[in-house]
Amino acid sequence: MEPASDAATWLDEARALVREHAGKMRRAANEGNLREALKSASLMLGELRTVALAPRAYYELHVAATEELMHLRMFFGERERHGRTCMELYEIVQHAGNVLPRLYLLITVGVTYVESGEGGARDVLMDLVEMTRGVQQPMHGLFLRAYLSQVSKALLPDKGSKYEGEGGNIDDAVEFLLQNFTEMNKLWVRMQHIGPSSGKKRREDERQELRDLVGKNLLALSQLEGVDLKMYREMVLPRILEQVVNCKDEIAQPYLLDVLIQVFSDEYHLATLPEVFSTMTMLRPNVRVGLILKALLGRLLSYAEETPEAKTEFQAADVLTKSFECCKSIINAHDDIPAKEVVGMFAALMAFVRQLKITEGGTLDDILLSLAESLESKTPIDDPEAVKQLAALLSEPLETCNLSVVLSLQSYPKVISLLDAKTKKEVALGVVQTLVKNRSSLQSVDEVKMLYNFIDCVVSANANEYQESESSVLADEQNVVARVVHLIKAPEDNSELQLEMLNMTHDILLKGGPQRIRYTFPALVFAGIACGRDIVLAERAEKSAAEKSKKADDDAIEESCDANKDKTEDVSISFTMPMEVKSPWLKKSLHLVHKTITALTQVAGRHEKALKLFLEAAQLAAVANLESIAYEFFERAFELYEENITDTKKQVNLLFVIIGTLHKVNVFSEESRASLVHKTTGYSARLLKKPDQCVGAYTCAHLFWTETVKDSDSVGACLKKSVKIANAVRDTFGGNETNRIEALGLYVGILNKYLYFYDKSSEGCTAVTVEALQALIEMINGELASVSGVTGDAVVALRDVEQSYANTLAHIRAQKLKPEEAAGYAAIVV
Amino acid sequence: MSTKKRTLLKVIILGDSGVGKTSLMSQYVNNKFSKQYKATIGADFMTKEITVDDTVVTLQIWDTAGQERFQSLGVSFYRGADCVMCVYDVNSAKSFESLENWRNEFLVQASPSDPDKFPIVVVGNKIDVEEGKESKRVISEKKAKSWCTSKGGLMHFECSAKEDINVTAAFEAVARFAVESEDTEPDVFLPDVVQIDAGPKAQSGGCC
Repeated sequence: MEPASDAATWLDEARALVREHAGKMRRAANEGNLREALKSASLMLGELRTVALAPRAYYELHVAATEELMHLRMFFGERERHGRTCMELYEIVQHAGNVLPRLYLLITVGVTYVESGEGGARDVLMDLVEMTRGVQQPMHGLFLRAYLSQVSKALLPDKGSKYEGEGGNIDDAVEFLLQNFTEMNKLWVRMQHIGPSSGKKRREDERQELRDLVGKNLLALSQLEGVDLKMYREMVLPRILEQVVNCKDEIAQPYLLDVLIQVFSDEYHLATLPEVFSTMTMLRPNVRVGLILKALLGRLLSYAEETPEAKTEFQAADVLTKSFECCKSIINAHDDIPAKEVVGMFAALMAFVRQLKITEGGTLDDILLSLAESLESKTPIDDPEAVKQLAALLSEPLETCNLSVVLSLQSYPKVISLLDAKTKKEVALGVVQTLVKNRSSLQSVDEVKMLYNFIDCVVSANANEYQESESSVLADEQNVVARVVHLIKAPEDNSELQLEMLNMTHDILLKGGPQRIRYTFPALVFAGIACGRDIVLAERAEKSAAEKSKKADDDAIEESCDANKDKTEDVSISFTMPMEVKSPWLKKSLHLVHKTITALTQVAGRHEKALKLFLEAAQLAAVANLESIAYEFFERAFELYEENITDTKKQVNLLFVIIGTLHKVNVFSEESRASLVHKTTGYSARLLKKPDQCVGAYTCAHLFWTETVKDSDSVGACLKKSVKIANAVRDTFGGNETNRIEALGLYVGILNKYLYFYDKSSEGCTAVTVEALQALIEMINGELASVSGVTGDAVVALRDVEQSYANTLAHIRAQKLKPEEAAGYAAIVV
Repeated sequence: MSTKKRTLLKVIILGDSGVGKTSLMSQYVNNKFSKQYKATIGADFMTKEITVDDTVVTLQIWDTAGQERFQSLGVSFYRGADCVMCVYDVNSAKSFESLENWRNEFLVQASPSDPDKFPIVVVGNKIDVEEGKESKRVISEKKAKSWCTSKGGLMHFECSAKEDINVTAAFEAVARFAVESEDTEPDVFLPDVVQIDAGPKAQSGGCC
């Protein structure tokens, strides 16, 4: 190949010469000088004999030259100016010295010949198509024939054309175009085999550029009025397909089929599917059949979009079955067909099925099964394109079908299993994410089982494959898996079914091993608790409704003047007060929760989580009046606290959670409760740091003043204890600034607790008196006054304490202004 | 024999796949319309002779492939165009939005001497569909006209190739527009005497 600039120079020079000769040709024509006009035309056309140009550049030159031939054609048409008959002209131009210019001129005269009526269309056109065989240089021949095809378009003896009749009929028009097509295709294919093998790639590129010249013949055929379906099926199509198959060319085959699909009408395609499909099984192995199938089905689909009756037509033509059969026979015909081709074809089928809204599971399942079987020998699929298409194909039914239909696709997991490990996971996670996105729900045991089967690769397979370094990947992945649990939703609040599905989930997830359940089991625990809570709430609602209607009957007369009363009463039934539950499924759900958390306690680093979950579960048991179960849950939580929680910060945090839970739980007998409280206060006393002990002590005070327990003395004892510890903090190391500020913080905390319990005086709490409050305030004032000259970090600490104290005092002042609180706060001086 | 002036005008029809370029040409040149969609392969022209004032004009109308994959030889035929007809489907917003690209692509590839004044006629096709049952037009005449104004006052027509509404008017406007524009540029005919032997050009072996 010439360097680009050389080629450009060639083109420029050639174009200049074409312009120059054309100018002379036009002038000669204007003067009526036939001889000169022909001479210049011949010279101009001689420029097309170059072999130095690449297809696109040659095309440019060709367009320039053939446009000029328009002027010559007009001149030929004006017989009075050159005085020759067409027959004579036809003779004269044959004298041109070179074959290429001669044939261009012959064709040009041929047009006039037919137009004038002197020559019959059939004879002239057949003569021309025959003579053009004389040019065998592929590119020259292709462009020459393209010119012939172009100018003859208006002359074809098509049905209804003015050239139809004695001069020829539709059969001749078809024959002419088919011959030209066949010859062009041969030239085009032959190009591939001329020249050294090193230029293969370049030749392929050039051929790709030239392809439309060949394709245009098919377009011309499709534009003939006279080609009806019968003629298409019997005459046109077989000749085209024969050429497609026989040329055995990897570039020509897909291109020509693509053009065939695009230029002929849908009606014709529908009527000739078997022929086209059978051709598709006879192509070269490297031809991308999937794309052809996709193009054909795509074409039919866009037809269906515009034509309401298309779906019926498709059924009549059995498009789907035939396409499906076609896929199978293509695969059978080529053992070594690449995976991406197989997937491509099936993807085209799936798209067709989707677009036509064929949602019967059976059809999809058949397609998937066949796909799985076809690819079995090629696993794992690692061609990125095939993988991408497979993943897309698998996500399609999820988007378009009911979940229940998708989950009935037995072959779905088979297709997933074809993929390599990484993609398998991506697809599996994609499935879950789609379901979550679409707010789908799993409503039966089979659906749950099937979904876990779909995503087996991230659920139970190869439980120990994860490397330490992949922990964040694992976490992301398993957090997605965990979301499946929340998709489980038995219809009509059927707790039995819900539990059956959750228990099955437990068994399946458990197989995933500790690395996975650390992420998935907490979700399962919450699902179990949610199930139990739903049972409790349902029974409470039922009971409250029953009571309401009973009350309504009793108080029918009072009712009318006291409309809000019921409402108030509903709210007053505290959820934290225990109430018997009749449903047997509550205990079952607690059992599930228990075994799930217990499994979690075996996982390293999950003790804290397990502890919190036990406490959650304890609350549920408590409100259902299941004392011994609630107690068991507390015990298990305490066990974990004692044996596994060693980090001080975690201890403090968990202690607060324990206190908070125990405070809300009202189910225990005095004895059980005393035992749990005792342990809790013990934990508080054993905290490592004094300030933590102080906070622990005053927080423990809450355990003695709850909905059911009212023990002022113990509250007082806790608060006193906390003051004592705060004092000790203050005096540590002779009471340096840091300690004193820390102690101040604790005092302010204690003051807040004092106020809380002071407010509880209305409920009878006597733990905090006005005097005690006042004394604490005075002490804090005194301490604050004595802190001075602080530096460094202490400045910030002190400012925080002062701020918090100021807020507390502001609260007291605000309370003093409230009429209903004034009595209690009046005595406090701030 | 006619004493009228004769002229050949090259008109190129551009636009997205499926907007009806071939249908417009076919309706105008042959008075034929087919509702079946058939892709166009490459570019091809048809001719039609008309009279504009006292000039006999042969319109060489180039129909082009809207799909890029059927434009394998490129667009060098843009060169030398006298006028461009940019077509969109009034029922397709995308096809209307593409006009900008088609226009730019043309001006870049054909590089006419004065791009701002190059005759471009914008045609909104398929106005018949409006009366049909399903599709509704999405590009109002007002919107299209305002776009044409913003591009320096392009001429605008709304047509139906199917019902033969306004098709002839659009092509005649194209012809008139092109004739008027051509008059401002004198024919670049070669001088009477041309130096033919301006250096022998190596003919690297025409094989035929």
